[in-house]
Amino acid sequence: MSFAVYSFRLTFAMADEEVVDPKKYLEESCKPKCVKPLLEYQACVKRIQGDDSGHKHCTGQYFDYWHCIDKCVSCTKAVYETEMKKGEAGGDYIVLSLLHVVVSRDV
Amino acid sequence: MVGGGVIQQILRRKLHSQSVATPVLSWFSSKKAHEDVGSSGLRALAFLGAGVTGLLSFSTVASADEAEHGLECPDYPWPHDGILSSYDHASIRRGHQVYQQVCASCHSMSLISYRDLVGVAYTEEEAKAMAAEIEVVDGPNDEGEMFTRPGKLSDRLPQPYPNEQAARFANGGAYPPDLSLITKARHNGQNYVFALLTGYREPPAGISIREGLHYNPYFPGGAIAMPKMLNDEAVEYEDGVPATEAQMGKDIVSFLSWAAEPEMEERKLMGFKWIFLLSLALLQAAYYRRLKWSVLKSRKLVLDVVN
Repeated sequence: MSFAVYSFRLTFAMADEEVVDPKKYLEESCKPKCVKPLLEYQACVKRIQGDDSGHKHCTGQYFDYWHCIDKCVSCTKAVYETEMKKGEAGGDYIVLSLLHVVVSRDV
Repeated sequence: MVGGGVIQQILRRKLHSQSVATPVLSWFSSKKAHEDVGSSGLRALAFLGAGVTGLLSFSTVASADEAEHGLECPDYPWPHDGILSSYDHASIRRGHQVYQQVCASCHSMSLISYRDLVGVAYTEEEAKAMAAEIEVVDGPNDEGEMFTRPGKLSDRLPQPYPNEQAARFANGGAYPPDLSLITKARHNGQNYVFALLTGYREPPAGISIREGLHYNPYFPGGAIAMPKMLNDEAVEYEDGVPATEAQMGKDIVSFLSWAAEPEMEERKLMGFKWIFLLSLALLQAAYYRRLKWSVLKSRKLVLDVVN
């Protein structure tokens, strides 16, 4: 499921570099867990579509949905991996690969 | 509004004392039948009016409250969170680079000097070279004139605007706050700053933001003057780490956390050491107290009844 999203993101990156924003990627992969608030929000959007008074809005449902996504993203084991990301510095590579083993089981 | 709800409760209790489980509306109609209730009835009617309006206004206020406080930011696992965890100093260095290239055009950090960066993110030579790139106005010379000179380690980080009014004028009335203490100056500061910087999204249906402001659910009220500043690859890191939005957000928050709490590492070491030692001292003191009191605690008192 996540591979399709991954390759979709790559098309926006430069040809020689594969830069994927980890937070956006995790938010996409958390969407299936937060379907209920998303449906509530979409129902609200539909409800207020005809309204012209300008007083109706869907902030509540929007907040519920994004709160669910945020909680899921911040709890994902993959967050620990992205927090420890380092370049050619080398020092943290051992730790990184150990965490990667943990991540591949869960994600 | 809460008072309206309370008054409604009191009113319901009054109703229950008068008659068993009378709904409010039927009480309204029965009031007309019982004209002899008199002044107490009028007072109750006034309470009813207050209660109903209180409840109605409470419901509209509740929906405004959510945007007012902003979306609650989640707690991220910062590498410096543990009781013995230090800052990620490479991240502080990258964060300072992000600050210089992205944020320093509007935000000052007037409490940080170049010398503070030595040993934390840069070597002394690097910090000196960085300081020398800026021009600083210095005190009157022997002729009484102010002059400019290249910066030194002892100088503060440069300010983008000379004063708050200039900053407001250049930013449509909004003042970009000084960032020296920002992670301590906002509730749950570190997580809030990260969520804010990476949380620019489309507004919900029904919300429109005026020209010049941008929607950010984490900002109290939802409409923030700062546009989205962190975009993928906005900065090219010296150490080659890919500069995604989340990476830049993490690095800038590490830098700002250090700027607000540079003593954190020493504080944690001191805290761990002294809590350990004082726990041992507590055990020793408890033993000593019980030892001394054992004389009194183990005595026997005999009541000799006089015949």
